[in-house]
Parts: sequence; structure tokens; C-alpha cells
Amino acid sequence: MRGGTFRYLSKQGLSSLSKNKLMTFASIGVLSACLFLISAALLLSVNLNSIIRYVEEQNEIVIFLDDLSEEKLAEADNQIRAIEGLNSVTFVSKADALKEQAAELGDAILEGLQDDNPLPDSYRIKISAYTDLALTVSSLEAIEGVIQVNAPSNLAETLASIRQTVLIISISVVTALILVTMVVIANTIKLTVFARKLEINIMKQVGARNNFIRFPFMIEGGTLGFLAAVVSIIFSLSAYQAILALTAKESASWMSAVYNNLIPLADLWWIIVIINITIGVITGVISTIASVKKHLKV
Amino acid sequence: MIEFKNVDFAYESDSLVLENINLKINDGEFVFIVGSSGAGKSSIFKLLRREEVATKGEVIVGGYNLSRLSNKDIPTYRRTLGVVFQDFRLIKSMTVYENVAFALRVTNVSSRDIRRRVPYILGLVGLGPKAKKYPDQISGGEQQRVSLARALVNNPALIIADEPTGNIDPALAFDIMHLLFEINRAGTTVLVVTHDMKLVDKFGGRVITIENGKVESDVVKESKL
Ligand SMILES: Nc1ncnc2c1ncn2[C@@H]1O[C@H](COP(=O)(O)OP(=O)(O)OP(=O)(O)O)[C@@H](O)[C@H]1O
Ligand SMILES: [Mg+2]
Repeated sequence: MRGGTFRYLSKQGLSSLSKNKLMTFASIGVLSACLFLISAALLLSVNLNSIIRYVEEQNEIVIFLDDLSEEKLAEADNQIRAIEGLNSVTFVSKADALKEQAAELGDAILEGLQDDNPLPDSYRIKISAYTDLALTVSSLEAIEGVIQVNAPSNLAETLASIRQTVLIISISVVTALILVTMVVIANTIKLTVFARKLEINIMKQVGARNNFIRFPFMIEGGTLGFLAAVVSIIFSLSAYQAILALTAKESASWMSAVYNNLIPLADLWWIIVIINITIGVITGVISTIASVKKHLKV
Repeated sequence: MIEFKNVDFAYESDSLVLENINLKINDGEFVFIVGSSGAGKSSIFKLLRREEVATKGEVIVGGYNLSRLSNKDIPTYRRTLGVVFQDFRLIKSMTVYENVAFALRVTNVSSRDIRRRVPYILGLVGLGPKAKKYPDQISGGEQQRVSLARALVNNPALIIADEPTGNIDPALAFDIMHLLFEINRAGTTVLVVTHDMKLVDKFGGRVITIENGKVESDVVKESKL
């Protein structure tokens, strides 16, 4: 296609958009609402992932031991490692624990404690997300010499199942939405295509190829999709920004662990931009092509 | 060369609109097609444009067998034609200039050639001053001349004009017909459907009469110019 022809056909498509303002607004409205929901689902699942990853990292059982003789300690060690479903078992001696504390709080605290270390021996145990937490805890408690078991809540498991559900629901809702949007756009555009049926017929009569006739409609649909994407990007990103601002104020509440793991805007705006523009433009182009197809057979 | 071989044609399966048409028109001929309303003249043109396909028999134009034309070749074939439609068929959303230029854009002619060619053709049919008007803003006769300009603009090998002077006063009708004659003299085959027997008598040439879907007569009349 020549540059001149390309420019001419693009202009045709764009002028049709401004001539049919009502249909343009309707289509952009429907498509941007759909894209907004897609963005919301995307933001939700991305953040849920980040929170779950965080919680999984916290999924650590710590057990503290009595002051045990070496034999007793070896026996307890055997029993602990025999329990099923543990990912990793790390022994932290009281000396190691003291060093850790010193590293965190400064060497000053070592003074006077070196000889009389008050910290107990402990184990740090990572369990997989699928392990029955309650059972594991009671087995650990039953071991002789174990004085305390600190287990996390079941939050990780709960979140993992929520993530699955959210994923399934979002995929089906988004698919349905895209289909509905395509039908709506195809129908709105069909009206203008029908009005241009005679025009298409004349074009074919003077020897226009189908691609030549389709091109302005594709530009029209693509532009429509692009504009809808811009609207959706603006709304979804500002909504997300507002949510981030709101949660930042609540840092004291018990939810702060969750809030602190929300992904900052700077890290994900580009995903939203790419997804919106891709889906918007593709949906726009496909639905216009579908509505022109019927009239090309003359 | 145009050839109709035993052509039958029906819009609906029951009644034949054209029946056993046999015609041979050589390159460079000027042919009038006459006949009463509903005789089948426009239907012959529809077959020539490959808007319809013969129910039986073959239509061959410039080496293209129209019954066997593939979808891909239809646009290529149509670009060799210049068509004046009985109902003009102008695109309402385009100016006079654009309507004519469009026939060139379709064939990938450069913008520079379009800017040169279109005003020239519009001048030829006397529409220079109306270039920026839309079809709704000009008279029927003017619309007809836009249709003619569009038919001429890409130098077609064959022009088929359905009543090109139907809405035009006699003086202008003569001028338009004269223009078609000039174009024919330069080598283009021209087929003209008309009801205007005065024009036919004046210009003469080959006159094919269609009645009830059949070729009733095919004669050559002397020119009185
Ligand atoms: N699209 C159509 N569907 C069905 N029948 C049609 C159609 N177009 C034309 N006809 C019929 O075919 C016959 C021939 O029509 P055609 O248009 O070829 O006549 P014509 O010779 O061009 O007449 P006129 O001089 O009035 O333009 C007529 O009986 C007409 O009613
Ligand atoms: Mg007719």
C-alpha cells in the first residue's frame, strides 16, 4: 500500500469515528468498562500473589528446647526430623541465637551474657503449604524436651485457596466480558456499516479489494479500542493509587502486613498499560472486521 | 472483445430476464443498446460488471471468462471497466472530487497522479467548479456527470454507460455523447444504453435492440453528423 493511500484510508476511518459520535461513545464506554474490570482483576491477583508469597515466607515453625543433655538433644533431633511434611529443619544453638541477636541489636548486649546465655536452643522448621499444620504442631509438642512451639496461623493456606478461586473467577468473568464487548461493539459498528453498505458496494464496483475496504474500519476499531484502553488505564491506575494512599494511612492496624506487601504503582503500571492497549486494540479490530465481513460479498 | 455465448439469466429461478443472448463486440466499437423499459439492458450490464453471473452460457470480456472469475480476480477485472450507473451510485459522504479520485485510489495510483488527473476529467465533463460539493448538493444531471467522470478517470479499455444522458438537457446530452465518441475514437470500446432515439439517429453506429430479454435486432446505422 502506498503511503498516500495509507494516509487516505486512515483518515477515512478516523473521520467515521467523529461522524458517529454516539456510537463511538457507546462503544468506548462498554469497552473501557470491560477493560477496567480486567485491570481490577489483574491488580487483585498480582497483589494477592505478592501477599501470599510474603505469608509463605513467614510460614515457619519455631520450637524452643529445654536445656538438654547431648544425648537427649540427639534423640529429640531424630524425632523432629522423622516428622513428615517438613521442608527444612534448621537447628539454632543457643550460642548461634545469641550471635544473631548481637548482629541485630549490636554487640553491646553480648556483655555479661556470653557466660550466662539465657537463650534456649531452638529449631526453625519450614513446612510446605500443603502440610496439616495442626497435626504437625501436636507431634512437635509431644516430643520430650520441647518447651514451646510457635506456629503461624493458617493464613497462607487460606490465601492460596482464595487465589485459586479468584483466578478462576477472573478468567471466566474476563472471557465473558470480552465476548459481550465484542458483540456490543460489532453491533454498534454494524449500524454504521449498514449505513455504509451502499458505499461498500460502490467501492467493490470500482474494483476495490476487500483489504482496502476493511482498512478504514480496522483503523476505526483499533482507535476505538485504544481510546477505551486509555480511559480504562486512567481510571484503574488512579483507583489503585487511591487504594494505596488509603492503606498507607492504616499502617498501624493488624492488616499492615498485607498492606505493606501491596505492589507499588511504579512496579506495575506498565503491565496495566500493555494489557489494556493490547486487549483494547485487538477487541476493537476483531469486532469491526466481523461486522464488515457480511457486506463484502458483492 | 466482448462475447455473450448462449446466455440465460434470471434473478429468481422461475422467470428468465435474459434468454439465449449471443453477441460479439469487437475492441474499439461504439455500440448503442436500446429497448423498452424492463427489456433487460441493465441486466446485461450487471453481467458485464460481474455483479451477477449468467445462469447459463458464458460471458467473456477481454479474455476474462466472467463465470469462472475467482474472487481474487474480480477487483482486477473491474478495474479494466469504466461504469456509468443508471442510478449514479455516488458515495454520499465524499465530495465530487473524492468520488472520482476514489476510483484511482483503489488501484494504488500515486497522490500526485490523482491530483493531476481528477481535475482534468472533472473539467472534461464540465464539473470543475463543483469539485468540492457533495452529491446531495448538486443536480441529477451533475451527479450523472460525476458518475461519467469516475468511469473515465482510470482510462478503461471498456466503458459501459447506462443512460448517461438520462437526466441531462438535449444540448448537454449531445456534448456528453460527443465526449464518449471522442474517447471511442482514441481506442476505447464504448457501450451505451439509451432511450434517446434522437441521439442514436444523430450519432449512428451499431445499434442493438433488446426486447423481452432477447436480441431483437443488431444493425449499423449511418451517422448524421
Ligand atoms: N434485482 C432484481 N431482482 C429481480 N428482478 C429484477 C431485478 N432487477 C431487474 N429485475 C427485472 O429484470 C427485468 C429487466 O430489468 P432491467 O433493469 O435489465 O431492465 P432495463 O432494460 O434496464 O429497463 P430500464 O430501461 O427501465 O432501465 C425487469 O423485468 C425487472 O423487473
Ligand atoms: Mg436499466
